[in-house]
Amino acid sequence: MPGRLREWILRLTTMVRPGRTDADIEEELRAHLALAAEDDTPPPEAASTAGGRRVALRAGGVDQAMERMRDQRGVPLVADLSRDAREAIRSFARTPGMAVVAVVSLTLALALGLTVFRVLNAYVLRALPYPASDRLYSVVLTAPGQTFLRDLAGMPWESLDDIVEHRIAWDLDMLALLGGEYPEAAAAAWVTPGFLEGLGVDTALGRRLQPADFTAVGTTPVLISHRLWTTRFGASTGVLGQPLRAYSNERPDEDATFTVVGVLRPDFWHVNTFTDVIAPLRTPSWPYMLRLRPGVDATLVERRLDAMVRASTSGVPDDWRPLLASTHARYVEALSPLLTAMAGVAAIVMLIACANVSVLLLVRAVRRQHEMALRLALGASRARLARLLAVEGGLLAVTSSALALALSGGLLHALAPALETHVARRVPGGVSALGLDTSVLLAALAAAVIVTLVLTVVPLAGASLPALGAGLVSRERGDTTGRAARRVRDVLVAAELAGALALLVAATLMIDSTRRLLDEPMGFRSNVLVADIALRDRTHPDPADRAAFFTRLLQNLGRQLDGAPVAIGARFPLQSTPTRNVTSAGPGGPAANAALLPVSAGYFEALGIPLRDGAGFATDDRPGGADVAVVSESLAARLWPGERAVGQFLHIPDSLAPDALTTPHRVVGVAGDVQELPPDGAGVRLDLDRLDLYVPLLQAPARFAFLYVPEGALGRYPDREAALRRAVAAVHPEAAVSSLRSLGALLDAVRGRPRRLAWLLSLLAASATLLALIGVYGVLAYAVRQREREIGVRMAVGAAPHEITGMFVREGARLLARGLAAGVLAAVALGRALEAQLFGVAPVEPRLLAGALVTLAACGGFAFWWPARRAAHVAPADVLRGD
Amino acid sequence: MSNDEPPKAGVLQGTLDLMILQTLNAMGPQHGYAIASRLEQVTGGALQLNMGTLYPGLMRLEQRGLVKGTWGVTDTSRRARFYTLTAAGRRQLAAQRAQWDRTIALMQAVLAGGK
Repeated sequence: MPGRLREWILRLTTMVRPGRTDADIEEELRAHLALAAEDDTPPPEAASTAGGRRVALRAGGVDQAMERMRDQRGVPLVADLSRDAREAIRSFARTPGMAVVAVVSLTLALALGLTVFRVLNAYVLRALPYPASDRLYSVVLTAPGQTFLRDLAGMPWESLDDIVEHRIAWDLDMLALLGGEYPEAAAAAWVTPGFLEGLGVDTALGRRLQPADFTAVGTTPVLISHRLWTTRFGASTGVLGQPLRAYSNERPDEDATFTVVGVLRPDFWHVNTFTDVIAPLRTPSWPYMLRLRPGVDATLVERRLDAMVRASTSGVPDDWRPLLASTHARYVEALSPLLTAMAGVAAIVMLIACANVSVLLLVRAVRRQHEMALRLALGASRARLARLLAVEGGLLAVTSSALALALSGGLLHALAPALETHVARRVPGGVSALGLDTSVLLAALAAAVIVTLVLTVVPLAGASLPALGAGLVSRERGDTTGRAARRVRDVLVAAELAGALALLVAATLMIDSTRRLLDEPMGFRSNVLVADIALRDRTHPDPADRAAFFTRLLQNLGRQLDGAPVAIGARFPLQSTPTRNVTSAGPGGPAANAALLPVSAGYFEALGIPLRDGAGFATDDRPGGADVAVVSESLAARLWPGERAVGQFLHIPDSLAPDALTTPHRVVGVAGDVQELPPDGAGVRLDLDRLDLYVPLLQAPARFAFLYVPEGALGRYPDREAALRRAVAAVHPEAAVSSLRSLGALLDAVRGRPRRLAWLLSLLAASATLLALIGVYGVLAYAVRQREREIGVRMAVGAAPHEITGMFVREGARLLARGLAAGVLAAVALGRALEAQLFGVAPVEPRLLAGALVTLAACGGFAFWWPARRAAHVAPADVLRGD
Repeated sequence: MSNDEPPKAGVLQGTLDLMILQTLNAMGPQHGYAIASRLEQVTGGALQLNMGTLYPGLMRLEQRGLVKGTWGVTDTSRRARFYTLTAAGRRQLAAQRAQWDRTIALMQAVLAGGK
């Protein structure tokens, strides 16, 4: 019916565009009454009654008619809710401070929660960006400490094809792309056909790799990354079929000309480091990952794999077991301690914020008890009051949730690179996965709903219902707040204090740990640039050629940079280093596991490592030079305690034949201790034994070396990287510099991890403490206000001010004691969650715990002493006259 | 929905609209009080509409486009809202009247047959 449709459209539109105003309606109703009064002729039996009142009774009340017309005007529920919302906004506007505190604390807490959730979502909840990624499993063929099986690649892997859909393997490689001013390094992966199929690798341009590409001889077809396509080929479609001249670090003497046949999609993401070039792997390999066929259980594959390996080779140890682990789970497992700790912190802050806002609303509800009781008496239903509270809570929750969503987005946008460094894992599918998606929106919505519920139920349970009935009465009696209200309030404040204490302890633990970590001397200077240099086998086939190259490079650079100390080393100080079990020469000499560091002359000068005794290596060293070594102070003390190390001899076992006899090395110098700080995964680990052994690099240089140049020495070049690349290319045009990093920046990245955590925790602890103190103060201040009458009476009958203060101080102390007792337990739990991030401090440090307790007790004491003191200054006459 | 509740003053459900439309048709533009008085008068005082029934009804008719309300001045120089029947209202009145007549005829036939 069009009329009815029109009616509903009009009614619905009043939600956004008001129809007739209340004033207009009221005027019409008043006109009705006036017209009725005008021609009112009282019937004889009621001649004495006041005409207006009779008319009003007959016509029905204006208010009642208004109510029904409002219902007719709009959609009742919507109209009611929007009226409640307006009322709530008005009431918040009357107490703007409270509204701001509530929104700010909820926003901060929710933003933290959502940030953690978004990280969790991106890493753990969302599948890896591959089709049916739940069927991808990583294959672990050697557990730690197990021997490596021979000939894995040659085993009949195809016999598993009935349960395995694709065998995924790749061989990471570094290509030096030729043809430019200097060779450009590009990360490459030689991959199996299963890699492309199993990971769903697709091209944005050109074709994919085909089966024939894996068997053919001749030029190798490759896929290049979107990035390389844009930077090197100017995103030209003419790239297809073009040759890519390069040599591989792993197969330096294989065909060095590739043909570009396709460009990868920009969103291609590899579980390993990003690859710029994908080439077909033409040699047999064993799989690192498997894509199982649908419905196949991983344990079945493990059993079959075990049987296959045992059938095809002999000498497999009995305790050898292959292991299949979900690729996704393996990728994120290092994150779980950090995520657990962060989720714990987020939960505590959310709890504190919710408790705090609940306390604020509760206190407000108690203050409004009189108003609410009046409303009940006037016929407002309890449901209506609950609705009003829900609308108020909902407004706060939705506002905070929306703000928190924006805030967490901004935070993650700014912090994504730091986050990836911090967890040492790139976000699966790229940082865009940290953005908004359905799960994040649902989480924000769920958070808003939960907060609304808490903010509705807590004040309702705590204040309104038990107390409301008595609200009018209790005021007459001069009674204090309801018992239930007080109990809820006490629990909330105790929870806030407990959370604050836990965070405070966690923050001090982290700060202490960071301080210890940063106080540890590194033993070398960090304003040094490190460049990776790679030589080709073809151009520098034997150690003598390589030694000649490096010697010339060092000489050239030294001249070019006015004698600045430059050096090369096989490793750099922040890298974890393989160790050898070196022994002091002579029968029964002490042994020690020392890190082996081949370095050139000038290394100690370039890195600022002091030589405590003796000297470094000779500048004209070459293969066949003297067997000499430099030991670190700690190693010297371990091998020759109480003796001079210089002049002593030691044995360095061969890594391949540990038992073979070696020529002893003569110790020529003792260097200061240096820390190697491995930037691996989550957690903090320090090289604590500092047993380092330096040997002359130029006697047996590998094709790779790190070049060390003091940062200041390159100061006059605007483009330091290009200057260095040119200097290297000048010695040999095909020598590649693959990266240039500052040791300081690397060090900061490693040290930044605990520093960032400490900062974050301190910030959270400070805000949590502040919130908790506001909570304590608020509760006590309002308790004092609620009991002003009681105080007045007590003082009128002769109580001394200090007795009144004492009464409230006791109440505050009771609250504080309960909160802190619960806080100790929470602090112990949080400390254990943070254990992996700590260095040099135990998860439970009585010293720090006591410090935090004293701090919080002092602040808390002030927070309740202040309102308690004020209570004593209540003037009895004012209060008793008050009503 | 509250607007579908039967008016408390003993108005048969669904008949209020017809009564208002008929009154406006017979008397021309009228304000609410005049409509109520007229109905009270023609029913001999049997039908006393209170404001909570009459005005939501008028509002509903207006929302459906059957009547149109405009502010005007009464004979006694008082501001009041006058309701006019629209063309749609006139069509609706005719349709409802015919419907009502049929219902009456049917009821009469049934009641007469039942004797």
